[in-house]
Parts: sequence; structure tokens; C-alpha cells
Amino acid sequence: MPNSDMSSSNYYTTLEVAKILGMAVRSVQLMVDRGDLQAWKTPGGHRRITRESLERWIQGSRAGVTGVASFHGHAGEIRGPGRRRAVVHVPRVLLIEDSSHFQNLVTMLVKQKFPAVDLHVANDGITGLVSFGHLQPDLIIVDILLPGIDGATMITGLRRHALFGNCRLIVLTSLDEDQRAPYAFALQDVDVVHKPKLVSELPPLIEKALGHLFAPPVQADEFEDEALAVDAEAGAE
Amino acid sequence: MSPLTDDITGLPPHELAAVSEYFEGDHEFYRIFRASAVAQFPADLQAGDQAEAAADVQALRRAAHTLKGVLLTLGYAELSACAKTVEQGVQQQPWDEAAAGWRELRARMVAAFGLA
Repeated sequence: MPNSDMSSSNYYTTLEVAKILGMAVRSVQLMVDRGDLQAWKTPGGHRRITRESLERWIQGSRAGVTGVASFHGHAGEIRGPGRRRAVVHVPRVLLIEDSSHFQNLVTMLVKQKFPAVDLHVANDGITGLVSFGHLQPDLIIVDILLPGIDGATMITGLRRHALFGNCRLIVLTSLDEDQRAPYAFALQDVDVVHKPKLVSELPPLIEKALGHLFAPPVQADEFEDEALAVDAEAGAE
Repeated sequence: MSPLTDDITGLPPHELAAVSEYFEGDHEFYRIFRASAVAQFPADLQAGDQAEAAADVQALRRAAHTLKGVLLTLGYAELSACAKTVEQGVQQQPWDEAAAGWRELRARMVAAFGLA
């Protein structure tokens, strides 16, 4: 039991931390057991995690120590007034596509299948390169034929770019197989989607590219147990 | 495809085939995308017309390339093939032939989608 300030603003429940970090409650419990997070237990046996240790862990994560979560992007408040604002990573996608039709189609798909994704659209290769540096997206979806700059050349350049890092890449094309030979150098080891197949083939590739950034679902029994505990304690206050 | 199915969806067979092949059977998603595409077609045709008037090979190729993809996605395989002919023709054929190909594609799209 800590002897410092016992006000609730200095502690989180396991469920709250799970929401902040986008993890399962059980994962947070294990982090506490491992000593990654400091916590104490209520008389009822429920963990209370110190804000200080959570912030320390977040800082470590930002530095790439854990790699589970980075903390930039949208803000999501998890408590009422007086509590700190917890910020979680929102997967950011940059679509570089000149066709309004396929801008619409990709936007519709992403909104439907990945509502948490922050999608940005660039109309041509030059704008795409500028947006890439500015946004540092987690995933680029790029058309192989673009006005302004050849898409294949741009892809090759992007992959050599220092900022490219862990950014994932998916190429879209209307080119049939027999038309792709001139671009083979850029398409090596890259996921390529033929545009007519976009609706069925793109979502699984987005999931593959960004799945590690999506919050895993909280197990129903874990959620229920923790929610009951939170409710019970809230009722006791 | 049974007439009953056609009645339910209100879509012609080639569009139903596209819903099945490219849209995972999601009629509503197809309808929304089709509506947005038809709204965009006049701008696409205008871009092609301007490219033809300016004898701009790259611009006409891009216009045809864009239409090739969206027409196939919507289930208009013949029109898509026509667009592909224009796309390839602008680089391989005399300009007059490519321009004539564009005008044919244009006329067929206007008829197929009821464009002004």
C-alpha cells in the first residue's frame, strides 16, 4: 500500500490501463505481476496501478523499448474531469491515388472496415511524397501509375527513405499482368492489389499491415470481472 | 441469374456479376460506389475530351487508364476493354486512330450510363 497521495487521480484500475494501452486486461495484469507497472491491491484484491509507473512505461514505449504502443495521434479521455488525458496511437494511412473513383472506393472501404484508421489522401506523387514526410504514416497505399512522378520510381525512393522505417506498403494498380513488366523492379516483395479486386483483397492486407496497431479485444470474462469490480467499488465510494 | 433475383436487386446481370465477383455480394456497397462513379464520369469524359483536343498523349492515356479500372470494377467488361484499347493505342497507333477510339469509348459510356 503506498503512503503517498491516495487520491484516485494518481491510480488507474486494470481495465482503465487496458483501454489506454489497447491491451487485454489479462496482459495488463501480467505486466503488473512482472513489475513493468507498479500497483497495490484494494482490500477486495483489485489492482490499482500508479499513474507514475504507467507514464514511465509509456515513455519507454515511445522510445521503442516495448514496441507495444506509441502515443501520438488522437486523444481519448478515459476519466472524468481532473484526470489526465490518455492518448493512444491511431493507425495512420496515406493513400496516394489520382483516380477519384478509387479514392472513393478505398475511403468507403476503410471507413466501413477500419473506422479507427486515420486516412489521408494525396492526388499525385509529389503531394504524396510531401504528405509522407509530414504524416509519417504506418501504411502507404499507392497507385503504380501517377501523374507528376512515376509511381514505381516513387516506391523505390520511398523504400530507401530514412523515414520509411516500419511503414508498410501496398500497391494498387489497374494494370493487367501483361502490362506490369516495366514496373517489376518496384513491385518485388510488395503486396499488389488489382483494382477490380480491391474490395476483397485490400482489407486483409490492411489488417496484415496494421493488425499489430489495433487494440486486441478484451476477453469477455476478463472485461466482465473487471467491470463488476469497478462497479462494486464505485458503489462503495 | 434468375429473373426473381434481378427483380430483388434491380441490377442488370453484368452488374450483378460484378457485385458477386468484386464486391463480395454487397449490393448496397456496389450501389453507393456506382452512384459516386457515375457522378464522376462527366469530369472523366471532359478530361479525355481536353486531352484529345490538345493531342496530349499522356493525358489521354491516363483518362483511358482510369476508366478501364473503374468500368471493369462496375461490371462493364466490354467498355473496360475498349478503354484498354485506347490506353494502349495512344502509344502504339497513329493519333487519329487513338482519338477515334476515345470518341467511341465516350459515346458508349454516355449510352450505358445515361450521361448527358
